[in-house]
Amino acid sequence: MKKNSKEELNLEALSAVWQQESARVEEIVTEHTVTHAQLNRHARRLSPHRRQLMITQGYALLGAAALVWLIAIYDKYVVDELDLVAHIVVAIPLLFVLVDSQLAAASLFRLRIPKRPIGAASRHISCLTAAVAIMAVFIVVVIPAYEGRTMSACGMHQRAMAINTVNQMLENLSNTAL
Amino acid sequence: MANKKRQTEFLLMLDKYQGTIMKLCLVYTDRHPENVKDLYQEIVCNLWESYPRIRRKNNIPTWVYRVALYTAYTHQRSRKRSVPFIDLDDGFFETVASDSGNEMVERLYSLIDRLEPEDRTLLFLYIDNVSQVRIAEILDTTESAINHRIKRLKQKLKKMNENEEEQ
Repeated sequence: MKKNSKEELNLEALSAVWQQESARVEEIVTEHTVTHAQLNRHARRLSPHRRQLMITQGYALLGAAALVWLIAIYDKYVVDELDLVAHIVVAIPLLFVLVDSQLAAASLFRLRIPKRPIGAASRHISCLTAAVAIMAVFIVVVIPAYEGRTMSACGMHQRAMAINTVNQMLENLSNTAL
Repeated sequence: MANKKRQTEFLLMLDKYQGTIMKLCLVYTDRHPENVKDLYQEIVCNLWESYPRIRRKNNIPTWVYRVALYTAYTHQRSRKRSVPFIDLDDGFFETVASDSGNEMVERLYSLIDRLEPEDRTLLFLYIDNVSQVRIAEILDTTESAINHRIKRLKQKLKKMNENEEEQ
């Protein structure tokens, strides 16, 4: 392994270097014994690293969804200022629900099948899938239903305004006539 | 009761091969304690999951290497898509993954990092003193094929050496 030696990268030299590292690792590892409790934890729990990763990805996903939603509102659905405020008021608790749903999915998978060790990666994918599915339900079912209601409320509001205007005009006309 | 007995058996086996698993984790990660811990956890999970299915108990070393290598390949692929975090909470993994203080070992790791996955596996098994018969068994091939691949690896290392000298 000496830099200027022609023999530096031969397998035997590498093997000799590895034996030193191997001895170091074996020495540390012999002091560490895995217990029953740790085995169960290894098998069933997400590591803090993965959990953080999952939450961050969840937030990123939600951020993207919120952005798309806001663009859609500006583009198509904003009828007056009141509607935009209503959308934002609904969006905030919905974001909380979605974050919770991802965490709930993680605990659900652990609760349903406690004896079966699931790989952290597969659990991670399941949680993301669950979050996407819940979001899809909201986008396809809940939001259109909400849209319909606000639009019809808005229509009623406009009709009332129109009636008021007509009444005002009639009143003005009668005043002029008098 | 049977489950408890199986767990004890598994833990005894794990104690014996913990060093091998840990070394493999060091070779297949960037030696960040959290990444080493993640891969270690996944390997233990997969070993535990497939433990009831081993029929020949005398073939345990091959099975450990196979499961660990397969997990490491999968982990490496998923690692490329994920974001690194800094969250140090386990002294054991920190100690194992810490800089060995040996310049030659660090150079060996940097060389391992530059190798293709197949060559990395072969080099790891070879320098870890696994017999060529066992390597053939682990990689599901013949001994002569392994000999041939070792010869090619030697040539590759020679070429890398020459390139390094030129630079």
